[in-house]
Amino acid sequence: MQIVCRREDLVFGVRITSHALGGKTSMPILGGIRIQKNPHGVELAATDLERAIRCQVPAQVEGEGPVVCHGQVLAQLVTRLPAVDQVTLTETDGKVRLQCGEAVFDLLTLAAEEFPEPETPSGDPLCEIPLASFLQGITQTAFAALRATETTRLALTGVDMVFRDGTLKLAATNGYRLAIKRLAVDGLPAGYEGTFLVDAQILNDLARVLAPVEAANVVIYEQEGRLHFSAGPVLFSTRLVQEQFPDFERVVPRDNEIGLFLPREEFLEALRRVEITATEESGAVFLKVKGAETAVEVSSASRDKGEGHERVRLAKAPGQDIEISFKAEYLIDALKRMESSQVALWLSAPDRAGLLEPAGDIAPGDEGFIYVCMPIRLI
Amino acid sequence: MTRWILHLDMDAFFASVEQLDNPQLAGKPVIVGGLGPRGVVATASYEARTFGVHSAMPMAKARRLCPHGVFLAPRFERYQQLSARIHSLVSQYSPLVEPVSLDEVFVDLTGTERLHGPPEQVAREIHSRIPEEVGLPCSVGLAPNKLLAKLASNAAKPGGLRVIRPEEVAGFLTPLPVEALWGIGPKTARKLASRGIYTVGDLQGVEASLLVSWFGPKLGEHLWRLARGLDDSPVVPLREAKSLSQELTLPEDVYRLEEIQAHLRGLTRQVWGRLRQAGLLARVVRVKLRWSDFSTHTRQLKLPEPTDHLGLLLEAARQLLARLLATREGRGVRLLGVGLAGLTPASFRPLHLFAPEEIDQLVWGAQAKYGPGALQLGEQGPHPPESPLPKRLQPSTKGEENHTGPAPN
Repeated sequence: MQIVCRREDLVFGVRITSHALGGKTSMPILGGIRIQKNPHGVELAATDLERAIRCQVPAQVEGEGPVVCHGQVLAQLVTRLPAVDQVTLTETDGKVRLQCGEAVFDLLTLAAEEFPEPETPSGDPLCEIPLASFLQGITQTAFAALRATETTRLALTGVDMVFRDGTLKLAATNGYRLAIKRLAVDGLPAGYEGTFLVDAQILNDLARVLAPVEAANVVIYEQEGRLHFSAGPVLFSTRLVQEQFPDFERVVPRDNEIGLFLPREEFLEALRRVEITATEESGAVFLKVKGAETAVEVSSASRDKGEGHERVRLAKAPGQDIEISFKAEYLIDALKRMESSQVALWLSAPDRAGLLEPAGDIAPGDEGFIYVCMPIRLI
Repeated sequence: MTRWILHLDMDAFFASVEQLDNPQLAGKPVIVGGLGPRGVVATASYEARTFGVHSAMPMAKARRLCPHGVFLAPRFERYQQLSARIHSLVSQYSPLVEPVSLDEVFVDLTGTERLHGPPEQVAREIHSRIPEEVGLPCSVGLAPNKLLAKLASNAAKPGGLRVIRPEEVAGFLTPLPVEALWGIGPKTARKLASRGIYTVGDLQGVEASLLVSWFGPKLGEHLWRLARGLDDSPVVPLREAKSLSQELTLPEDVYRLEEIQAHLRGLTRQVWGRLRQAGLLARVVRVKLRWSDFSTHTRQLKLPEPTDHLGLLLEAARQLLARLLATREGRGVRLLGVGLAGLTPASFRPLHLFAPEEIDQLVWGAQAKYGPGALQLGEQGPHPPESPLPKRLQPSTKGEENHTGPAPN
């Protein structure tokens, strides 16, 4: 097998697929990137069994392949190749000779027949989503999930993907806060309802993989315990988490009447400052507002650091007094991932969940985003 | 300034509680401990001690020595409840209260004179108020440090009060056997005896340099200080504790999953009770398991937020147990333990989206008011993640089932 391709294309393909390389595993083959001929040139593939990534690379190919190279070696090498246009890969006697300008490497290979064949989506896709909004959806939800180190139960380490009524809802929570993003999708069959739980870390990886891809849409396929995401030359497949995600709609407050309309940037910056004097254990900041005033006082105090106070103006008076505490980090996490210049924080009582959402002229990237945050009760 | 440390030690605590709750047992030899084949005596009443029964003795031997005794399994939640009352009573005299165990507590009375009067008077007050208000006998020691206070209460047992004033320290210590000193175990005692040192007085006569050459610098210096009754260790309130844990050695190896899970829930409830009693939140949950082949494993989880929510702690403990049981390989469980760490005072409470605070408060309130087991969480297999709390609340008039084996008294 001999492959001639542009260096840039090879770099792109290797970088994309290396996201699925298995780490230290008892199966060395999972550390490999498989290269094989396909109608468009070659396909690079890697999998750690949880996820699989395939990427088409335009190339002139002689012979069929496949050949499996050490993924880490290949990934390191291609990024440091001399700046010439073309790369040639030639397979001979269990090795792959990589030539690029004056650089010549004979790389060891892995047994191609041991490479687990990634599943290929068949049949019609489930739906299509504009790539940019899908990526934004991941950005605005995956962060809210429980870290794998904080649980051995997988349900809350995932992002719930709910397809229904022509929309996709993404939801993630760690039990104390909940991020929800609603996205419009194309082509979802009428009456279709489906819910899939995907590991938040894998979804973050998917976003990293798809970010550099030039494609208008991502096409989603569903198949027996897997989801496939296809965009441009990339196909990303992931296993689903077989756990029951909590009924998150139930905990979204529907009747919070005290609305704080805040300038997002100013509120975010104030929280970042006031967080510094919050106690380490709670990270709590107090919000205090008088019904008739158009400003909220943001403050914090801790025995060993001191205290901080700041006023953030409100677009209008909230009508009712309220004092409530939140973990600063939880509010910051959401605010920094929003784009609108104004946000609304809807409250009802000091021990009831607050609802944060974009307000005013809502930025396109904030459409369909809501965030629920439980307060901290001070005793 | 002279420090004044009070040591309160309940007399035959578990047995006395049983006699308090069941007056028919008064004056009878009561032995509390593991009733299974591997059971050990946790506490023997003074009536039982006259038969030679003492704590840590195998239960089978206790039954031989005292065949007419009343043998009971411990009811830790009840002991814990009374322990909390004792704790709150002594807390009226000082903020520095350090519980050593359920039946033993140090109180630092230094500098409380203006508020509560001379320490000796406070000691007498505590000594009479405990039997009057809690209904249980106790011994009290008052001395310039923890070491001496404990020796004093020990000398006062049962039911007495002993004060060691600074000028009395030497006279008090000299005749005591060296084993009486806190921290001198049988091994050190044997080593000292082989050199002709039997009493604290003998030990005082040994030069520091000689002790160091015999025992090394650390232990040598420690012994020199012990012999003179010197101890500057502080009274550390529970809220500054680093971790809380509760262990249970099972009377026999347990193989049934439901039974293992039930024990785990019982332990989690006990350690949760102590967490709430101490006014703390925990961020880290640990589960320890010893298999029938004696190999021991511990798994821990760091929660996203500190909590004192029973439902969330039960859920974490259950997850950890499931992970430990994954390597079970047909073995039985010999010991289970639940620990909480990453402790912080409960001056705040992060509220959870799916685990309402109200139910937890209800359980705690009922326990505080009507005693343990007033409300029991009905629990079953895995419950759906949206409700870490079990759904059923079962009223029950009984105490916890006897899932507790011998524990250090």
